[in-house]
Amino acid sequence: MQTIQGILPLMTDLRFIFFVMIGAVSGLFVGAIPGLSVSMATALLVSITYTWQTSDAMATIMGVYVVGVFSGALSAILINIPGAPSSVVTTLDGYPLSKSGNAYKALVYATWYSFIGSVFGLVVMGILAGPITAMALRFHPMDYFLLALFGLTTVGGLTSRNFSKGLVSACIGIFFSLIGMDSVMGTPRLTMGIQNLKAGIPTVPALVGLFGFAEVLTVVCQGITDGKVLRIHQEKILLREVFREFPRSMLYCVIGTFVGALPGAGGPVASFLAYGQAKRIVRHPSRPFGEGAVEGIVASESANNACIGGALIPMLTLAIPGDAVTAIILSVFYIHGLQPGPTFLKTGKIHFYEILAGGLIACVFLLLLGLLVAPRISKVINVPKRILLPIVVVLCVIGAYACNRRVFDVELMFFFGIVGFILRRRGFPIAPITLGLVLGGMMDSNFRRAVSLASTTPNPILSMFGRPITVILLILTVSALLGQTPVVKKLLRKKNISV
Amino acid sequence: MKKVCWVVMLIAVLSMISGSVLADYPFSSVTMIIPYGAGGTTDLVGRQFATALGKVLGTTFVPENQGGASGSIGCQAALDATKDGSVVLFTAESLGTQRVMDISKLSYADFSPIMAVANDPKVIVVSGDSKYDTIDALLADIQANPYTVQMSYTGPGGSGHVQALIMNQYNYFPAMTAYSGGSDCYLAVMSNQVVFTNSNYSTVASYIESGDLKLLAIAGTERMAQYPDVPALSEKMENSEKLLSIPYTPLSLLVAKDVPEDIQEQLRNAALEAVKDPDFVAFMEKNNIEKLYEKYPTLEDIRSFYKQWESTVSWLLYDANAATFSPEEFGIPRP
Amino acid sequence: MNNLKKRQAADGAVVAGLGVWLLIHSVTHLLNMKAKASWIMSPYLFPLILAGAVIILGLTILIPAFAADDRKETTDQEKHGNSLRVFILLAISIVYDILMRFAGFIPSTAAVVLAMTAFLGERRLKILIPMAVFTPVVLTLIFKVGLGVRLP
Repeated sequence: MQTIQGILPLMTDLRFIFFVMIGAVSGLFVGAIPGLSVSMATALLVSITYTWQTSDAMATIMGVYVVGVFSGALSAILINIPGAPSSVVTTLDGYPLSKSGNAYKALVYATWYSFIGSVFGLVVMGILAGPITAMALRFHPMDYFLLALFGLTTVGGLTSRNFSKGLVSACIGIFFSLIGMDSVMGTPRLTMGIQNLKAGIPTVPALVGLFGFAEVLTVVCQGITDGKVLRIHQEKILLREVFREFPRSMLYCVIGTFVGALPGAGGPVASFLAYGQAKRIVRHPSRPFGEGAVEGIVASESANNACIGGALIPMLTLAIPGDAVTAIILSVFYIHGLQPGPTFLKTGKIHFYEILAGGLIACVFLLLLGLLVAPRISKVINVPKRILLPIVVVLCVIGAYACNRRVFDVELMFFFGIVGFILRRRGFPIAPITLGLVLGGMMDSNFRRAVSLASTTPNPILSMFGRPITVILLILTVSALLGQTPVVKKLLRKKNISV
Repeated sequence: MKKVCWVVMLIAVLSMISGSVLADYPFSSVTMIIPYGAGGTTDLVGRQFATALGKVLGTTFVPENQGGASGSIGCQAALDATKDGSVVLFTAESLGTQRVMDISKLSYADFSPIMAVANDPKVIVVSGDSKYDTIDALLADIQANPYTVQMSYTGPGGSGHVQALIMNQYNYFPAMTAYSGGSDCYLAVMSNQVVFTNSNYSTVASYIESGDLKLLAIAGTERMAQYPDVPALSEKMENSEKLLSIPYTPLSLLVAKDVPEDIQEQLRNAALEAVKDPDFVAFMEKNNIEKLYEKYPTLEDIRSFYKQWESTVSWLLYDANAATFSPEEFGIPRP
Repeated sequence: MNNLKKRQAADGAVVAGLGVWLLIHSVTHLLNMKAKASWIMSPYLFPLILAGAVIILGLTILIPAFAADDRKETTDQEKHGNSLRVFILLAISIVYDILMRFAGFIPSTAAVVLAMTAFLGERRLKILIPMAVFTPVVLTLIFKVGLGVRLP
């Protein structure tokens, strides 16, 4: 009640709304371009907004954040290049759907469920910030490791018919993430003598290469089939139909918000986990998963947008950023002389309201912009490939270069393009690689930390696995692993048990 | 036509927000690399200093966290960047130990100092519901059970590690686990993964106030004005004043050695102005941060302080068998 | 053994091979480690575990390829491709990379867009020329001026 009273004046403040709108429009634009990440946009904004009032700065940044996370889905759906790691899962069903001429439908679903996810996450943040922080604090290194492993195992089975091949892709991703300085001991490893690799493999160039450049190579390899212009089904999409997925999306939102609240996990993990759940609970998808099921888009988009609210929670309550963007928001607080931390929710209440109100207004803009842009932008799919592909290549180069300003990253992007191309030709899915890349470092350091912590206790095994959260995660992970192995599958099928 | 209009409008709006195009130094924005995670002490002070510097130079200093590997990744990035002053480095002490620790080939010699800004005192904290209420109880337990009382630290060669080595010299052997940043360290304490850590005061001040963390001791030689009852560690360990009085977290503003002299000069003058900024001074005093720019006012002072620091800590690490290479290999004399 | 099985066996063998390489690499490093550091915190512990997982996964792909199971498995990428075109595109990209280091963003992009569009089958000059000119200029406007992103 008090919260509503707090945000109402802001929600009706025209100046505040105007700044959110500026942010939202830039977010739409930046997020949709592969390689230009939301965190980069926010970082740029901070440098512009530091002389502004805190409320204006917050409004703009929340606009960029919320809409930017959503608009990663646009390029994912239309050209199979996710704008950011968290949109990777959206490509799985979004692109096939738009290839079959239903880009508009895919975009409408993505818009609505991004909206629902964002609102859900922010509302939860408004109400439950305290309890969720307490829960996130209970996660020990071993739990982070198992959570990451769980994410990877479900993924392996999701994106490919061959379970092993999916897992191999995930392992390839982990391998690449291990290259560079080891974050615990600070020594270089697996750099193969290349000085530039010491800083590790940056995510964005790898992502742009694996999806963008590899896509170009694949299309070129298969021969361009221009001429037959796709008929765009711009049928009227009934809201009632869109909302049929609403009850299930609540589950994805819960997953998204909670995963978002765990520092270090974030959007990619949430969307993969939600997609895994979707595959399990949706018995009769509109089309098979991976071939354009709107249910898949719903899962991915509602989860990754729900992450926003989640990621803001530890930032507000502990001054610990949940992801790259919240780290930047944190810096805005510092620049404006505020001191986030455990007492912030009491002392900085007005800024809490600003974030909440800014986020909620941004959600409205997300919906408006999404529905406004969707019919126009869905025609991109009809631009002739011979015109589109060179532009995509140039965009890939810019995206790879822009985040660290190293030409080496452009070379890495080309390398990952080739890797992605070859793997695709051999039937290895690409999506798990990105997840492995995002999670590998976290798995490695947390695993060693867990072992190191346990090694000094009298009973190492108990101290490693003896806690309730760990036990639950362990059971989930092991059952996910076993449930997908061919041997167990056969056994279960014999006994007529459905998993 | 309509589409063209849209694009033009979009570009217009975006260029409006982003302000003017780049001009001469100081550029419209200068990147300040902070080679540690957000929320750590280097980050906190760095951001405050960035704001103050920005005011003086009439530009924006954008702090950029590039954490990992005891700060070496961010330092390397600062060296690799264009050497036109568009990238500056705000870092803690680890530059002095990276070579002997085999973390990197970097040292203070690769950079030109602009200013030694601050030293954040280290404090020993346990979680709010910990069974330890005094430093004596904690120390007694560590002594009675070597390698079982768990402590989190920020990685080999970092200030947490160095102080733990000093404790080792007095026969206290905690069980140590490395985390990737200062905030991870005290979070590990708060979530009871480990028993204690030695954090920088400014990062944990609000947690001590809120009761999430308990302050047991100041890991130095002097008590704090805010907490007159909390003992300094040197009171508990005999003859440790010499080792404990060194500023273990000297935070400095540096640029790559090859940055043109006149730009270094500009930055130096700006820094001298920036430390007079009332907001900055208030921040330093509120958090009990030692003003190193008063202790080492000239560039010569700073350079000789780096030399002394490098030699003391490098040999401390090497003698404790914690360093990979002998400081001798790099021509670092014994203190 | 049909074609599909052969491909699968090759995939499995390559994966397992990579795993073995990683295993050897990690073990050498673990053995060469200075005695005083503990193996638990060694950076090569996790690569070692990963290597084990990769080898097992490689075998699970390799072994079923030899099993007498002839149920039809469809792979996604069975279409025949033209690898020459891929090589040409890669060559253009490499030239782009090199060109960018010397000539800067706008000229190199113009040249590469021209080459690539022509290679992909566009022959009309009235499309080729404007594309080559407008792509780099518009992108520079958007990114460098609009967003303040630095370009190569």
